[in-house]
Amino acid sequence: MSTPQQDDHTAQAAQAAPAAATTALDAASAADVAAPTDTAPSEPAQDDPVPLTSLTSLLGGPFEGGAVCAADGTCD
Amino acid sequence: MSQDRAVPSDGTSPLITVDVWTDVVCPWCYIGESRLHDAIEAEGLTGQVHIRAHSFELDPTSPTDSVKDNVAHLVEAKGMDEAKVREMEAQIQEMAREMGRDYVTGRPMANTRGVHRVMQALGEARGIDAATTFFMELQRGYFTGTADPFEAEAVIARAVEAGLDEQTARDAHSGATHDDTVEAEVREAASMGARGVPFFLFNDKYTAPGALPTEAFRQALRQIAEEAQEERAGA
Repeated sequence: MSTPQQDDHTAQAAQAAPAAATTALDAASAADVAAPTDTAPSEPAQDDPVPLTSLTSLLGGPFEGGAVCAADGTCD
Repeated sequence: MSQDRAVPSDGTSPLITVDVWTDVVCPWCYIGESRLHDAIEAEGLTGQVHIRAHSFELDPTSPTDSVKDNVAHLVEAKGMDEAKVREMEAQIQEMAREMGRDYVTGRPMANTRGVHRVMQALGEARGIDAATTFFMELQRGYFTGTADPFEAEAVIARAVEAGLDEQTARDAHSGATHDDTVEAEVREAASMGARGVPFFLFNDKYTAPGALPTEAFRQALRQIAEEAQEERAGA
């Protein structure tokens, strides 16, 4: 929590599935579930959403995501 | 609320919609949302950015029947070093101060599910803007020491003031309703790769985890606004 971290979340988000292609997850374990990159394409969304893109890829340069509080309640 | 994320494109609506998954007790959410607001203002986009709050529970395992000091919670429940927690809090306080925001380092801490259920009930009854305002004001009050999200009656009163029927607010807060909508929003965030919060989604297209620097938000807003304007011009 001391400094904004450069984490790997952006890369995960860049590969993330469309929002509509959710799979049932337990809320308490949401943080442990990998982005469903390998299953989402075979489950097309009903309203054909725009594929998600990492903001980092739009910005380029040094911006690779900011500090987060994780789903286990800790903030780094 | 998770169903109404379509981005308007009628030319009169805001250029940019920002969906943010957040928790009321999340320090980086408070910092990140403050930076986003500063970026919107600095870019002259006030009124052109529609922010919508979504539920994410920072720590679903937090107790529902007791309230602790936030530092004690992290030390006892997460095994963190107290001195390190206090140092982190002081550093975030300094970041907030640099942005002209208050930040109280000693805060109550407990389970936030009740607040999320009330937000969802308010969203269902009065729309996502009312829910977002309710949530953001409560979050801001939490970090500035002017609101306690763990005082049930105060939370219910805020929701009623925002337009929610009192019994509906009580039912939601007590857990009789809206667990499903809270969980749906948490799942939605996870499906997009969120491992924590804040987690931002711009115009239903660009995802951004974490409290980005204000300059990153500014650059993003500039580029996304340009893109949205081009799309509208070509529509």
